[in-house]
Amino acid sequence: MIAPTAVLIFLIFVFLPIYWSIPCRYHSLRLATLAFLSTVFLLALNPLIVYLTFSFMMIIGAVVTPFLLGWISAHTLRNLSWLCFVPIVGIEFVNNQTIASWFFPPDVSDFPAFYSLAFLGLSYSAIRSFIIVREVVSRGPIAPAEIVAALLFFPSFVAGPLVGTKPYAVEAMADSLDLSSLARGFSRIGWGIAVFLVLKPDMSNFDLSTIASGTTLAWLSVYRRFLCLYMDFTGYTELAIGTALLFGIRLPENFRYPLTAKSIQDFWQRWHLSLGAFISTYLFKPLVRDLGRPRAAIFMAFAFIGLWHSFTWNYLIWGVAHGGALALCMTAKRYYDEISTTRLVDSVATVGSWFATLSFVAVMSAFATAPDLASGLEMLKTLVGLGS
Amino acid sequence: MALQRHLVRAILFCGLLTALTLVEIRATTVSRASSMPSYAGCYRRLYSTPIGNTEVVALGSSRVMFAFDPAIFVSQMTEVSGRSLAARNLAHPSAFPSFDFYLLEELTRQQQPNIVLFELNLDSARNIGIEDTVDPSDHVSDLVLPVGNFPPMFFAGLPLSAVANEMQDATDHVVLKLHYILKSVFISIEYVFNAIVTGRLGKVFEADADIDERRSDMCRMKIMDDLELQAAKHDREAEKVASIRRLALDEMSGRQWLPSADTQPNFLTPQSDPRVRKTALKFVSLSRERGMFPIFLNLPMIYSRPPSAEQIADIEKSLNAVVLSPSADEVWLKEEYFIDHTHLTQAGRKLFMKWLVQRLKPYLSANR
Repeated sequence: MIAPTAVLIFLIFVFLPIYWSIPCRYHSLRLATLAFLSTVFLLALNPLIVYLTFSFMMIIGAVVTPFLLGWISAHTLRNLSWLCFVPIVGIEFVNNQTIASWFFPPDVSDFPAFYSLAFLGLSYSAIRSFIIVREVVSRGPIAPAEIVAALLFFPSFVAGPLVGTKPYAVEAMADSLDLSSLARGFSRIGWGIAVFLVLKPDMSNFDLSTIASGTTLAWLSVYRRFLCLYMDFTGYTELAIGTALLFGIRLPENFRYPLTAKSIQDFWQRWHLSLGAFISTYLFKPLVRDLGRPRAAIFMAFAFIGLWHSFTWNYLIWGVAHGGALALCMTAKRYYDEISTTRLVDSVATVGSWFATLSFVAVMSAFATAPDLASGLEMLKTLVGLGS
Repeated sequence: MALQRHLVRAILFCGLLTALTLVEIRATTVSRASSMPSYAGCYRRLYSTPIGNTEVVALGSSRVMFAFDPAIFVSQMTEVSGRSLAARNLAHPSAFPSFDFYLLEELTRQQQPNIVLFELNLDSARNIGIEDTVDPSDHVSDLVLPVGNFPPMFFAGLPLSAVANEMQDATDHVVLKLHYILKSVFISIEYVFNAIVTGRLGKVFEADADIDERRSDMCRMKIMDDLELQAAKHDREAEKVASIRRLALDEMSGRQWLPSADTQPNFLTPQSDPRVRKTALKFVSLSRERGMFPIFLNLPMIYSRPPSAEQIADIEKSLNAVVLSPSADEVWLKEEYFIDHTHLTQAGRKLFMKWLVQRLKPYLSANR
């Protein structure tokens, strides 16, 4: 966890009474309280995060204001919304120290430890900003307090769910804290903490070399890494959704039992749903409309998402592989549906498909997070028994 | 409306009650923690005690804390020069140089020692301090105690030394200042929660005959001796101490020498905090400004080659100050005189003090 649980609980307990003591008619004041709490939290982690998040606000302001003044069309604003990804491209190509030196004195920016957590959640902020700009295109002006709260809300800052301003709109937020939200909020925070502090450490600390060696050990390590990633993600999401509930905000679910996915298509309908929704709405569908070729569209959308994760060969290959697998799956499904099979064949195919899906996503996830391309390829070689 | 009024009253009442409880807890904690045998408590005790007419002050991390014994210094100085000099050890585990600088600034507001020894850690980034290996449950942190003139700064245990260091350097930058204040408050919160969870908080309040001035005095200079004392009584503790020592030694043994002294003629290794040099220069200028004689003290680790005479001369030139550094063949630079790879035992301390007194003597005479 990036922040100690104690701090999270403390902040929630300090700010909850303040937040709920503000009458619901002062919606903006409530959002300002949330933004302030989030700023406190992010500032304690690393001040650079706050500066970078404010840079996204400035981009939103810069592209949305001409549209609201009638100077540019909706079509132009849609195109300009892609500028929200400029900061994440920037940090890939501009030296971290240079970025920090724009805001801080050299004594601080020269110190390597300063960069821990400095670029946390930046790619998520990019997507959030993009969604907000597109919401302006479809819904018209949005209250600045909603935009600021949506960009800064600390529980979902690091790992989503990826949403725009909709959950922060006056009609979407609860007027008062009811017992059911309180209970659900605490139970989800509790489960999130349990996943982080009990399940994940237990799993990651287990010494796999006592039960396997060689290629088997490599495979087990890959599955374990993926399970840990899932626990990390789902733990954060539980905390985010639970904390949001305590503040009367309903964030969408982000996972729907992804480990039961029977195909790569099914997997993306269960894993990181908010990212899936972004891919589908803003990448896949427009590309299908423009190109008229769904397979090419899905391929390109995932290549983009790979680079969105990080500008590395590993992530590009991860995106291309997922896009390729999805395109292949679309074709295979069409042919499979055409042939008649027995129930037994169906069952075997389902189990095989489930295993192949999980193995594929686990291997690709381990490959993407490998330190570099060479280590990723070495890992793949080990998995097929050709490791050095 | 009436309901809202009641709600506001209830919140105010609960807030007041919580505030009063916190004030009471803090007052009790402050009074108890100051006499607790805590690793950090030692520093606080030294800091909060009036300085008196100290003539020699040692500043630095746990290495200096373990190495510089004022009592031995006074007796040996009397033996060597026939003069009795009051000395004080203000070293603190995990202290960063700029934290020491802050201490020196504080100290010189009250009095002016003749000589200030300032630890110059040649392997600052590589030093695996024993404080990292000691089980924190052995020590009761000074919970949320304000330190000197750092009003917003809370001293809740070892990690805050680092935060204080960073904060010191960020005083001119409002956002950074806010960041470090929040960071320190967060760490304090975490410490208090951990103390509650691990039951350490209870230790502060429970009646314990062992928690008295005597133990606190023992703790002041002889933390590891104290642990060893406990170890003799409890097998578990003995195992712990042994494992700490083994761990630290295992970590370092097998390496011929650490490379920094060989490859870096200057005292900053590429891994070192770049602010160390800046703080060292600030330390020299403050000492000169206040009429004190600054001396840098390099305490090498075993398995780490001390810098050569030429390297020391270079450092002295760049800092325009005296640097005391032992040669590799000093009698006390042996494994048997070290608790781990970097902290001296009581026997090692005695030998080191003898070495130090010999080297300090000319400067003491000159500075008189």
